[in-house]
Amino acid sequence: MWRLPVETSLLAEDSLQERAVVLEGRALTKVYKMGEVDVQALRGVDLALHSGELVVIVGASGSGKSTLLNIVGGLDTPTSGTLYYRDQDLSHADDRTLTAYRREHVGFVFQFFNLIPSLTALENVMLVTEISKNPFRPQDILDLVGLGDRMDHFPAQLSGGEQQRVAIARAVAKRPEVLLCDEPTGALDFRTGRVVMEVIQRVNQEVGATTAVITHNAPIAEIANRVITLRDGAIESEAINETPRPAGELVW
Amino acid sequence: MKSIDRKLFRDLRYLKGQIITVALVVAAGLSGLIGMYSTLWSLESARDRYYEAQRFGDVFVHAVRAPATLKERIEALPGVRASYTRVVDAVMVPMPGMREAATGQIVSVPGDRAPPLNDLSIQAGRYFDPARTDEIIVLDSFARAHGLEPGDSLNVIMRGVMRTYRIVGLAMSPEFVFVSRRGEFFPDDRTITVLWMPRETVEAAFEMEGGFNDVVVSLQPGARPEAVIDELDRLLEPFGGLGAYDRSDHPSNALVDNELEQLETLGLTIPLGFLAIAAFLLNVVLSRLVQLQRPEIAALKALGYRNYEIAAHFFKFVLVILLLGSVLGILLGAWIGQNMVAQYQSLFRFPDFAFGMDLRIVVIGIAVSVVAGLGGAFVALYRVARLSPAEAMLPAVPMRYRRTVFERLGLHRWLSGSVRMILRELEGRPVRFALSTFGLALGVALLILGRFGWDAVDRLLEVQFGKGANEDVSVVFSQPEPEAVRHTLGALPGVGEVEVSRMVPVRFEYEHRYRDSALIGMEVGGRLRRLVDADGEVVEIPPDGFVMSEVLASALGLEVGDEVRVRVREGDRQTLTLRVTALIDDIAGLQGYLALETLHRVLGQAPAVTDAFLTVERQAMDRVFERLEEMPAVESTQEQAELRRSMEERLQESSSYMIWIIVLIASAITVGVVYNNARVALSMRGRELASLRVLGFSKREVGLILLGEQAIQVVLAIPLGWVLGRWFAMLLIAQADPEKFRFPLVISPQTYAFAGLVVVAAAVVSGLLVQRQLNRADLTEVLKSRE
Repeated sequence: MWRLPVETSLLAEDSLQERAVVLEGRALTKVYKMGEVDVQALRGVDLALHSGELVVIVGASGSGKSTLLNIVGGLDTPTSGTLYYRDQDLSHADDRTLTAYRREHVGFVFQFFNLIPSLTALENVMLVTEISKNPFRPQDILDLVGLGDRMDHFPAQLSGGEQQRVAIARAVAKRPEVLLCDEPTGALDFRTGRVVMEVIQRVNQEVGATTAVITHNAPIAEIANRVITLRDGAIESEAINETPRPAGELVW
Repeated sequence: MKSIDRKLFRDLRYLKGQIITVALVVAAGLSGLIGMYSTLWSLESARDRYYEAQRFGDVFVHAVRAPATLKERIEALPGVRASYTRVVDAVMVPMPGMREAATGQIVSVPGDRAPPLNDLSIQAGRYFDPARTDEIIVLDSFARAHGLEPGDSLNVIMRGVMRTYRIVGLAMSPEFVFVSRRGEFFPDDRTITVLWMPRETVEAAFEMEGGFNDVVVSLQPGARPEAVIDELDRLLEPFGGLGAYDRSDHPSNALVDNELEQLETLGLTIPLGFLAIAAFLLNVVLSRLVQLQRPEIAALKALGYRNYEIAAHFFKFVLVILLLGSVLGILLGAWIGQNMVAQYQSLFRFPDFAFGMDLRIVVIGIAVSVVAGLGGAFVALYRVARLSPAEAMLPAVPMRYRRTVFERLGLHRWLSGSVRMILRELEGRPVRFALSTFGLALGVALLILGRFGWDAVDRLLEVQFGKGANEDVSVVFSQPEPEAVRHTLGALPGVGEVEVSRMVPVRFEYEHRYRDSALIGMEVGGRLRRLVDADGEVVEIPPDGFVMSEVLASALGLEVGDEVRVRVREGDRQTLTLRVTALIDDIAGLQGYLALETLHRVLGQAPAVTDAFLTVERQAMDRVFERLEEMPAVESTQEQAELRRSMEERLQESSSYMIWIIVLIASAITVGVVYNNARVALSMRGRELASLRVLGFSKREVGLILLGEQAIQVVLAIPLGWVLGRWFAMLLIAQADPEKFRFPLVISPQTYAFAGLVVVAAAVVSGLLVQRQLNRADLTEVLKSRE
């Protein structure tokens, strides 16, 4: 019932590492100047996201995972290092380029949903489809996240989990190459959080968007193809998970 | 300093843009109130002091010639305290550098002492030396316009005879606070004068020995002017009395009074409107501050701060804005007042007329601002006080959005997401939306109100010079001349066409009502002088018809077809009965119009004329004026082109500066509304707007959503403001007595466009300021936090 008209199955048999690299960051650093003190949020991170994979980035708060996600998503620029989206150098991109990058290629999901309160669920999704070149039908995508029957509700009339699913639908509706989720379950209880993770996993599999989820919730890592652990602004470890678990089996 | 006050200062610094813009609106309102009322007060007190000190009369009457012995009978009338009988007549004063002679009046005064009433206020030089007979005192403004000083000589033409006098003094008089030539709204000081000379000299010049033709009367306290007017009319009837009138009909005083009334209305209504908007803006700003600071309020409450302490904290915030606005308002008000007084100084001739700040109005103004400000803030403060600490810790209840009217009407498919956001935001806050739009409309209306007066005068000039008066030179005779004068004038070299008219002073009576005015006989089919209505349409006088000014008809309470009694106030003073055949909405005066021949017929007199209108070849103009001045019968001459040029010049002068003040004030209100609304929206909806940026909306697109709301308000406010402005203009016009001042309600397309453009420009500037802040906003920070 949630099948989307996706042309090619991205669940190919070949190894994930052999797939094309969509996003590649090298030696990324980020320094925030806080008055007298410089805060080093990233200290030379190398990161490559491959087409269609689902990566979970874990780390304690302050480990630099949000900073990394913001840079990868074009919300911020690195202090040094290089960032490529396919052939496009985003390391020193200006606001206009980054806006276009976000507009065309990136979907975001945040901890606090950030829906537009004056627009209904459907309209929140349409907000994105109206400015995209090749979007999904908004109704289809809301069906995919299981909200086909609540499309005409305003955010204030939806539960937290439902709001987050609208946010996911909104992020995915443009057929993004990259889906970035910053603590998507952070504001939700366990049960709702699990439903949201199921949706993210399904979207990853069916839409084929390269997905990165950051969380401080270690069990979530079990659904990933790859798990990256950040600590103190640097990658502490990286592990490939040959057998990701369906999100529905998660417990935390 | 207490920590909570330190917080106050940080909040103030953080919100400085909004504080300044709200303070500016307060200042705009207050400055209008202070500026206009201080001007009013300065004018009123200058007038009262002047009238008192110079013993300005209460009732006035002009006649043809009365014997000096009548003075005793006048003073014996009940209610009369004192009288001043004198000779007043028309003079011409040829001045070097001016083609047409200046015109004016000469007034006789006792040679050895000050006049008992309407005393002169000597500005330079001295009063007369009884031993000399060649001395003259000249109206101060005329002398200054020509650089004349005591000791200079002056040529004066009286009844066609030129004599030379020595100026001994420059003076003003309470009866000549405002003087102008016929039909001139903005008098040119160079062309209009008043001269004073000892009685004997004037009597000799006008063959009035042992008589007088003008009376000024002062009343005993409590006496009714109406009774004295009736008695005076009765007494002067045999001597060619032209109808007595009191101060309210005195040409100079009526104009001053009218100006004062307008100031009073404008000075109160406009500033109060502004202060109401300021109150609303304070409410908007403070509500937002309270909402943003809910957690802090909760913390303060949890720490044990009492409600009133917290409320007082926010009160102080409002007070700082009001204080800032008041200081600015007083300074700006003083500046406006000084400039307005300077304008009036060139219009009204008061001896000691200076700008004085009316302290009462300053105090009242500040009190009104504080009440309005705190009133505006009250609702927000009440909410603060009511919150329990636990409640305050929770995020504010989000606004409930609904589908808008447009969407329910089925228009939704044409509305993009951004447009829906804008519309729902507006519909979700109907009061704010309505008040913002109203505030902006008020700015537009003010601009219209500030400029329409010039449109009206422009129209009057257009009607008068463009349609009604097509001659090059107009000539007024001191008394009716035989119609043969037409040929005398036509024979002057350079004169082309000649037309004539006759003016007869009359009293129109209908039932118990009457008006003193004139009957005018015009040439049928004339080309130079035509009867035109306020719209500039030419109205033909039917050969047997009698056309009456609409305003006169309504003052008399008569309609077309009614018969009016006309008491002629010259010659053998007969009484006629005329049937009104048509009314005309003319631009000035209370006249009855007849064809010239009909007038002669009903008067049963040989044809005679009082006015002549000439076309003159350009190169012959100087010569024609010289010849006209030599004619004893000529009372005054006027070159139409010169009159129009001088009036247009003055119009420009007086308009340019007032317009700037109004633009300034209207901009303050526009910026106040747009900037504050947008800033508040930016901070309340920062998260939402940042989300849009994350979704890939450009800064411009997000800016459009934020400012689109304001743009809609501005777009709605402009037509509303036009209507409101027209309505204000109508009120202002309605306030003036149409029998004295008639202003057409004309608002030119330029004025509408101007009002709209100023507001749009101010709104765009505010929008750019907000867009700059939006551009600076950090995307990532705002998304992290919980609402």
